Amino acid sequence: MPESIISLKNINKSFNIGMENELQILFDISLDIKEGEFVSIVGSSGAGKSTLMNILGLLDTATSGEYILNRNNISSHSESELSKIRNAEIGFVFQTFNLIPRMNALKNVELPMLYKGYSAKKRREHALELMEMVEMSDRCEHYPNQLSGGQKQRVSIARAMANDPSIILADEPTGALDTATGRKIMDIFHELNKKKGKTIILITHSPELAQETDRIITISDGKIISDSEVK
Amino acid sequence: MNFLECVKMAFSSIRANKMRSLLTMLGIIIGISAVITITTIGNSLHKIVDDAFGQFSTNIYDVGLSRKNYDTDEIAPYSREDFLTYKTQYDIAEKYPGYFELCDSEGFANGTVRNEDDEISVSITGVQSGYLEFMDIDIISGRGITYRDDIERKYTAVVTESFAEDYGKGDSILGKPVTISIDESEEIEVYVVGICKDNSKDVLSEGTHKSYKVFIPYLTVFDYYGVDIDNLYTTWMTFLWNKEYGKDVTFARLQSYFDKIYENNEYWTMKVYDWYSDDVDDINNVLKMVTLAFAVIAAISLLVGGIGVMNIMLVSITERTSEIGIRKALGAQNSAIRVQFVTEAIVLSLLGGIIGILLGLGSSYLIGAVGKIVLDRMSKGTSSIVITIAPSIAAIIISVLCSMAIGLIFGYYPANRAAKMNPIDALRYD
Repeated sequence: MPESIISLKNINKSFNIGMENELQILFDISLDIKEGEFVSIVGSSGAGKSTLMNILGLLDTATSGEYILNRNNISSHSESELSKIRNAEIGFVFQTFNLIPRMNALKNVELPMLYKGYSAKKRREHALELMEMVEMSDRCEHYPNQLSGGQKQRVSIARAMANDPSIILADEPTGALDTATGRKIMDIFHELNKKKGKTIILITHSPELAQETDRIITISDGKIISDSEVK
Repeated sequence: MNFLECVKMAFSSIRANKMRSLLTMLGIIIGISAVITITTIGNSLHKIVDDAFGQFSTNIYDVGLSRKNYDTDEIAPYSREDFLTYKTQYDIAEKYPGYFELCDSEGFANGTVRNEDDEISVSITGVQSGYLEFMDIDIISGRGITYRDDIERKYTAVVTESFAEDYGKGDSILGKPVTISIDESEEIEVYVVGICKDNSKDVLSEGTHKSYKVFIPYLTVFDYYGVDIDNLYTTWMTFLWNKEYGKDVTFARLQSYFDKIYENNEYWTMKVYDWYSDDVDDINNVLKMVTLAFAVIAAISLLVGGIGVMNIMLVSITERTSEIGIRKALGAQNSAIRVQFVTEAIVLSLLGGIIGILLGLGSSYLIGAVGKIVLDRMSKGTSSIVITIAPSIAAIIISVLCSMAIGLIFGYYPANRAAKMNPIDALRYD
C-alpha cells in the first residue's frame, strides 16, 4: 500500500472573511491521495473545484484545516517556502495553457528550472529532452502564438515536468481542445502516470474523461459528495 | 535566479517594446544629455579661463595706502610718517621667511659689452628675488637672483638667452665675469649665475625679438648709487605669495602685519589687494552659478524621466499580470519577481543614461567646434585662446550612478507591487 502523498483534513476556505459578503467555498474537505494515483475531481462550475485545486497547488492557503504534502505540513510554511515546494513538487497544466507569449517554447519549458537555479546549459539540455518526450522537438524555437492548441498543451506538459515533480495538477487540460487532440493529451497523462509513476490530479467536468482515471472525487457546493474507485 | 538572467530578461522585454522603451527613456536621455553638455561646457570654459589667466601669475598681492574710513568727506592729511620705506618689504620677507617673494624691479642703466670684435648693448635692471617668476620669465640654466644676492648687494647676474648666445657660446657664460661699460667712463663687473628666456610668456609682448638683458640684484642698484632704502618711501608694494601656504594664511599674515603698523594711525592704513585671483574667482563663480542653474533644470527633467519610468513599469506590470501569475505558479519567489522588474527598470534608465551621455558629449564637441569657427572668424585667427573640450569625468560617473538610482527608486514601487501579486488573481487576469 503506497503512502499518501496528499492528505487534507477538514479544509475550509472562505473569502472576504469578516466582511458582509463573506463567502465559504469549501466545507470540511478531507481526502487522501496516494502516490502514483490518477485521480479526477469533478463537479459543476462553481462547485469549488478550482479553489480546491489552488489549495492543492499551494497557490492559495486554506482558512482552516491541515494539508500534508509529502509528509510535509504546509500549513505553517511561509510564502517563499511555498514557492520552493511548488517549484519542486507540483507541475501545473492549465486549460488556457498559460505559456508566456514573449518566450519561445523551449524557454517556457526552461522557466521552472530557472527558478530552481539550474545553469543555462543544464536547463537547455533538459528542456530539449522534455520537448522530445512530448514529441515537440521540431517546435522548440516557435512562440506560443505559432503553435496550435494541442501543441501548446504539450509544451505546458513538458514545462510541468521540468523539475520532475511528484504531482501534476491538470485543470481542464482538454477543455480548450477538440476531441481528437484532447485524446492525445489524455494519452500523455496516462503515460506519465504509468511509466513515470506521477501522481496526477485531473480537474474536469467531463464524466467520460473522469472514467479513464483510477478514482473520481465529486464535489458539489464545496463538499465532497462522492469518492469512488473506478473499476 | 542570477543577476545575468535578470539582465537578459530585462533586455528581451525592452526589445519587445522598442518604441515604448525609447519614449520612456526620453526624459532620462534629455536630462542626462543636458547635464553632460552643461558640465562639459562649464568644465571647458573653466579650463579656458584658467589657461588664459594662467599666462599670468595669480599669486600676487598688491598693497596700497588706503583711507581707513571712506564714509567721511573730510580730507585726510598725510605726511611722511604715513608712508613706509622700501625696507618694509624686506622686514616682511625676514619675518615670514618663505611666505613671500619680493618682485619689484628698478631700471639701472644701459650699457655695452665688448665681445671679441663686436659690441652688444644691454639694458641692466635691478630685480628682487621674485621678479622673474612674477614676469613669468623662465630660468633655462643656472639659477635666478636670490634673496641673499639681493640683501647682500652682490654683483650676480641673470642674462637672457640671446645675450648668452651672442656673447659667449650658450652655457659657457655661466659662472664667468662679464664687464659692462656704462656711460663710457664707468664699468661694472657682474658674475653670471643664470640664463633666462628672452621673453615672458606674457601674451601682451608680441614677437620674439632678441633682447639683451641683464638682471642684477635690486639692492645692488641702490647701493651702487649710494641710496639707502631706509630713506625711500612708498605707498605701494607688490608681493608674490607662496602657493604652498595658501591664500588665506598668507593674506592674513600680510594684512595683520600692516594693521599693526597702522594701528594708531588716525586716517591711513595699508590695504592688501588680491586682484588677480579675485578676477579668476569671479569668472569661475559665474560659471558655477550657470552650471548649478542648469543642473537644477536637468534634475527636474530627470525627476520627470524617473516618473516616466515608473509609469511605464506600472503599465508593463499590468500588461504582464498573467505572466507574473504564471511565473509564480511555476515557483518564482516574490523576491525573484521583484528583482526581475527592478532590474528591468534599472536597465531601462541606465540605457537612457548612456544614450544621454553619448548625446551630451556629442553636442559638447559640436558646440566646441562651432565656438572654434566663430572665434577664428572674429579674431581672424590671431586669438591666443585655445578651445579645449574637457568632459567632466565626475559628471559622467555621477550620471551613470544617477540613472541607475532613478531605475532603482522609481522601479521599486511597481516591482514590489508585481512581487506581491496574488498568483491566483494574476492567473485569472486576462
